[in-house]
Amino acid sequence: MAQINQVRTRRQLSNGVTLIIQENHFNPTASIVGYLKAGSIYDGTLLSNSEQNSPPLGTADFVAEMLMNGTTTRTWQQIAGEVESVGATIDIWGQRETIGIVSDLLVRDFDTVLDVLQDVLRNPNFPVEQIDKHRYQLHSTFMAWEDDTYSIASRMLRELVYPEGHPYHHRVQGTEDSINQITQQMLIDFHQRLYRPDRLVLVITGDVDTNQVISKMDDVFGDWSVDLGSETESAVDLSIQIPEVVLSEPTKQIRSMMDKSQADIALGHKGVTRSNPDCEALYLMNQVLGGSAGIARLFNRVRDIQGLAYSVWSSLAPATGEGAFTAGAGVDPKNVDRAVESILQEIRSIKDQGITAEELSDAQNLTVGNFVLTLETNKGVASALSIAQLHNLGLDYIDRHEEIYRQITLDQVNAVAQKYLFPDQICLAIAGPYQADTTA
Amino acid sequence: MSSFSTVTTHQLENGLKVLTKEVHATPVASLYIWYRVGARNERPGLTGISHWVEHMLFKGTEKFPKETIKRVIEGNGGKWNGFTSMDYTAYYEVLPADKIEVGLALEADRMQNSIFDPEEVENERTVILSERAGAENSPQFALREEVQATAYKAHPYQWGIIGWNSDLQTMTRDDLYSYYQRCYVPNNATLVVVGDFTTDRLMEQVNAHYLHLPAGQPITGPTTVEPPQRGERRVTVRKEGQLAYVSIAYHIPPASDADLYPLDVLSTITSSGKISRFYRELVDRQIATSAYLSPTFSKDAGLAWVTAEACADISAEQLEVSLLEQMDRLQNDPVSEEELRRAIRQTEAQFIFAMDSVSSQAAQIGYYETLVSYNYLNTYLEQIGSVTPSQLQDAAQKYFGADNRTVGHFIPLPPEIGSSTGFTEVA
Repeated sequence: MAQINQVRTRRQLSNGVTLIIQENHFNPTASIVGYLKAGSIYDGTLLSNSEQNSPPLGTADFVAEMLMNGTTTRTWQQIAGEVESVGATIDIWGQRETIGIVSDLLVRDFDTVLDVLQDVLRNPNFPVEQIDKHRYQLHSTFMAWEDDTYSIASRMLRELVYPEGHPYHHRVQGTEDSINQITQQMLIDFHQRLYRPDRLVLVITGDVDTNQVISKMDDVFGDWSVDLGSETESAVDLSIQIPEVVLSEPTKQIRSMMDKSQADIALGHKGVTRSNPDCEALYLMNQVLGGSAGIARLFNRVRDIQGLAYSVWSSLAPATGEGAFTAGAGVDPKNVDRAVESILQEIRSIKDQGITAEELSDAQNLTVGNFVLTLETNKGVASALSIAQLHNLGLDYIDRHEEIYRQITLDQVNAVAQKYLFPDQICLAIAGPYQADTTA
Repeated sequence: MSSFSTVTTHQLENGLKVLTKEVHATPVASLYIWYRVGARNERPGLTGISHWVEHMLFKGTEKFPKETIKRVIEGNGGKWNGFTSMDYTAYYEVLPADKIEVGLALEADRMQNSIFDPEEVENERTVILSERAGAENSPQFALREEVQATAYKAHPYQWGIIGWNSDLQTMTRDDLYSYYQRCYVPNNATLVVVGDFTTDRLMEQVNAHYLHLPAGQPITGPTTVEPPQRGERRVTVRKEGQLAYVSIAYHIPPASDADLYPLDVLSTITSSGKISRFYRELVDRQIATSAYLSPTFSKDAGLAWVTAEACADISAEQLEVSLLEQMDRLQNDPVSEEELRRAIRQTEAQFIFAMDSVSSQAAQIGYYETLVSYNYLNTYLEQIGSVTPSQLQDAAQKYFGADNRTVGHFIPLPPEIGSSTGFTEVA
């Protein structure tokens, strides 16, 4: 395993920027992957006790999307020009808990790209013209999503699983109404409060020299100081307690779109936090239920045996809070009810009877093997290290990954299936050429 | 740095070409098998058959029965899948390097021993109809299918890979099986293996699994040549939706033609990143949410597609005007040296990034070998690097004229009154 056993270094700059560096000299390329804790959970009222100061839903994502749109010394054209003309990429986007950062580059351009990256993170100037353009683009994007049965079903399900006011309830990008309320000052304020060096983590993998990277990082980020202002760091961070979700009675929501050819169904309920010690066992359970194509029961039974759907799946999204457990399929409108029943049947069967030893072994092989495959590229290694850092899994998590999954027993998987699957308290969303049975 | 000059070619007696490349960066190996069969080999009544056959190769053989075939790759920690295009059908496995023989054995066996159980064929019919219905939900798909069918009147490129609905409803098990028997022969395939192995040992395994497979009759492509287009064609799709879309298709030559290099560069200049022309002139000006020029790289004469999604309140007509302005500009004004230099640098970087993974290397080797020759990869950067502004302008003038284009509009209709679009909540 030439790549992942190479020396890995974690360093914290004096202002709190966390760096993780892993050298890999096979190709003259490097990836920078990381995050800054300023995701959409900081939208809404959670950030402040005062309603007046609270950033509207979608603010966190709006800030992230605006970073590449101008700094105090560069226009958006200059930013794009410097990065793209050397064939590099910098992508920054809003997520629920953090903003994501990914950059691919040829090592010869490391300094150029790093200089732009630090500038957009530290010195965005949120030009009004760009704000209006982004708002207009978002309106178009929302309209495109309103035409997509899968997007609609997923959104309806999320809103059913998480009650209003829960930080996972709203769409990361906000709503038509909320984005209209966002002002330049709100973006500036949000950036000032949350974009701090001690909230930033960057993982650098590739054809680099560790000491040189640390010294360059110190050069470009070292003078970024934490301006606590009137607040303390802990006041911001501690205010984000993701509340526990209470399971509801079964709920169903339908969006009829009669000119579509196929209906999308999405069903689910709350899942687990990433720090839950049952997380890995539950992951293996999901591989057997619907997390893969070859070995998964949903794929084999609902698609292959019953021929009900081209796509059928289940997934887990463990996060700081209880990320959702979801399953779904794209089906012929006349098969909607049958498909829902078939998926629920498979969930019930795993909850009540568990999986087999053979299925466990397949799921372990699949999970361990596919993880190794993701470590084939610089970006893959950097992403794995970045996720491990976010969830405090340890710098050696990617080395321990196999052992962790191999140690899980059949009893453990079957116990977590019993404990965390709730087929009788499922939320169900359907979007497509389907109408509610009004006689029910 | 690894490059494609270290690819080794092996020709088996039964006609199977094997291309291998050792890469020892990570303990991973990737294998792709490419069959020179796709939508271009189909005929009316059997459209979509190549893609359906691909699905049936996941249903089992005597040696790898259905229950086993599902587990053999994933159970060994690998990834696998298949895909079908106009010109080829390909299957791949990415595995821990010490397990690559499992993939070799599976592909050799299912090349000729897939069962095509009649019951499985019927189950798969509804799965494929569902795949098609899912695609139909997308306005882009609906528009592309119409434009493609309008741009071609003779050549099989006129139908999509998924096939027409009525053909999918009427095709029989025997249609599928005889197509499979005819096309899945070693002399119609290329096997590519890239990764952490030694070539001698790997070839022993390849010989053990593939040498005995009998060759079949040579497979020929369509003899029909699409006649030249003599004037603009237009097509409209009206469906319930939210945004307007425009697709413009221009006839271009096949992959083997040297004009594909300037067309590739024009694609980068117009469509790659925020400094691209389409971004600056259409996205930043709030006409389109996205816009791309993508020339197909195909066995027979293909299409260069201009596709764009309109911003809210922008009509298909308005979007078309802006797109055509850009296409006219490419014909009328030479591209600046700086734009060209930037495009070349972007292409170089993308090429080097793709070397990061054995799967992407195997995919590229097989792709180019199937369409032209894998040697294309060894000269590609040099060819792109020598493109001049006047070559770009020549190519634009040659292909992007009005008479050579088919323009398609997707017009979103408001939901029908009474079609009950809206939310229903059922407790």
